[in-house]
Amino acid sequence: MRHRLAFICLIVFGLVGLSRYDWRNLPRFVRGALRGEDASSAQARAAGTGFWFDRDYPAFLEAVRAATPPRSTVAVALPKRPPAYLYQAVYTLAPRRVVTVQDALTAEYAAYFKVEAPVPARAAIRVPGGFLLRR
Amino acid sequence: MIAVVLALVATTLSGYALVRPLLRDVSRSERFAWSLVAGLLAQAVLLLVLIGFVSGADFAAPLALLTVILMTPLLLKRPGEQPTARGTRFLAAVRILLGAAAAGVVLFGLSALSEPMWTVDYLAIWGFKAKTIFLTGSVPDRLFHDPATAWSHPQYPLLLPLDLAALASWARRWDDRVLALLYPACHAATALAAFGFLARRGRLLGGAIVAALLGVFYPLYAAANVGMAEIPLALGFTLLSCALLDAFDADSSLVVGRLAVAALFCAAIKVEGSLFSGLAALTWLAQRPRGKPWLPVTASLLLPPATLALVMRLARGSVMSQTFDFSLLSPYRWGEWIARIGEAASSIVRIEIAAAALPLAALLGFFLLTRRRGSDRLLPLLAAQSLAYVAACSLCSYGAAWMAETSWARITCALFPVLSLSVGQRLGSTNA
Repeated sequence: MRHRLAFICLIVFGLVGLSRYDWRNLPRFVRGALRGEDASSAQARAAGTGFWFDRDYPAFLEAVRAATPPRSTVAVALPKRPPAYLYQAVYTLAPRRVVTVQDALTAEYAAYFKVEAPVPARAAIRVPGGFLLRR
Repeated sequence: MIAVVLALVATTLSGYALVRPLLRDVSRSERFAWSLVAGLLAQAVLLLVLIGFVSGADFAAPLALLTVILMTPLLLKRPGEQPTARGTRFLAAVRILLGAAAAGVVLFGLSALSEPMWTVDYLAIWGFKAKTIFLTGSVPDRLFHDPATAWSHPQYPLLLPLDLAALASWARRWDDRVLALLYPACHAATALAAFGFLARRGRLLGGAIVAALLGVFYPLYAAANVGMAEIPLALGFTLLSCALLDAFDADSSLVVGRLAVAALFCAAIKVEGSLFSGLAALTWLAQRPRGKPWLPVTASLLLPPATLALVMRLARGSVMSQTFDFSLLSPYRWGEWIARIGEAASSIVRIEIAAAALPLAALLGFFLLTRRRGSDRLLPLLAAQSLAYVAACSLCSYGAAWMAETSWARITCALFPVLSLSVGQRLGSTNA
């Protein structure tokens, strides 16, 4: 009897673990995993879970990435919440050094996204959702 | 995809070549896990060596060449090596359970590979460092000392970023979806390590049940944990625990060597790994059988993390953690600290324990209904590690409750594979 109860406990434990799988998204997982190279593209990243908070943001980051050299420092002015704005900028723009706009003095570029920005003294490059300044 | 698969196979084979002398008394499924761990350590070292010699270069060819050189001992047949049993016949139940474990790993693999890695810790810590190392071909000093990214835990060790960068070097491009293959590989290795360890100790059915439980342990093996340190760390914890349990039963330099490899891997992944090694050393000192020398096992658990800490200190200087406020440990702030421990504990009980009440009750029921076994020696270690996590939450600069709610459950889940060894040993000694 004790053995049976112990097995039942383990079965319950296993079933709870199994139930924590994201079954609703299984078809999406299968499609994504079988998509091959296409699922690794910048577009796939932009459409993925990582940009749940703002679907306009990946196009902005991609434009800043394309317009700045890899060894440059980019100051970013972003919405404060959620912090994922900053983390995505630092990750997507790597290996560029990314600083917040408060530390813009050390940066060759300043990128503004969906925030009020000072009127640029010189012509700024328009990027989706904001603009990019060469300092 | 093919390049990263090849890289993982080569990593495992080179790891096997390195630790083969230590694996003579373990099962084949454990060998895979040990080989992967040793290979990941080797890839990180090789990448660091290459960075040291030719910073900023394309490392694909030299990394592949050095890995192949590491594999050459596999061409030699070791004299006196015992042939492994082939074609062991398993009970139908064992086969079904192992099939369930494999299916569980495949399901996790599908979720891991469905899109580029995206979790916050991946973006802010592991992926950011790995991508920077890969794209600059160097380990820039700013990864440790840049105030602009002080939130990226600059004090963490670099094994995981170096391994991701090494895998990307094999593929010659940064593909943050395909790199996630590392995670199902670690999942499979953890389940195989637990199964092999228990089967070797006469718990074939228990090992298969544990493998199935680990295969579907989705609180840990979830898309939300891909790109983070806990899944590889769980593998390190499991191997260290298997070697520690072996140390209680056997006097062998092989076991001491395995402990050192596992302790180094754990410490090189994350700070929690060093803590686990330290607590494992205390467990050994407190419970070691009479007459067994204390020093070899203790040294193998403490020296690798200590050496790694020293090397990191020398290489990158002093790195301050922004995450923890250690001034709370000063006597004049003890009152505040104790209140924060209460805050963290209360948050964990109210939210995490309450959410996991059913599986925790089932696990508790299992332990109450079954007999004590040797692997229960690990229970105090697990309890101490979990309590240390509560203490860590209480020291968090961003708030004790915040860290308890965002991290405690995830990092504690990484201990379940160790607990499962105890579960497996309590299940009867059914053999094929």
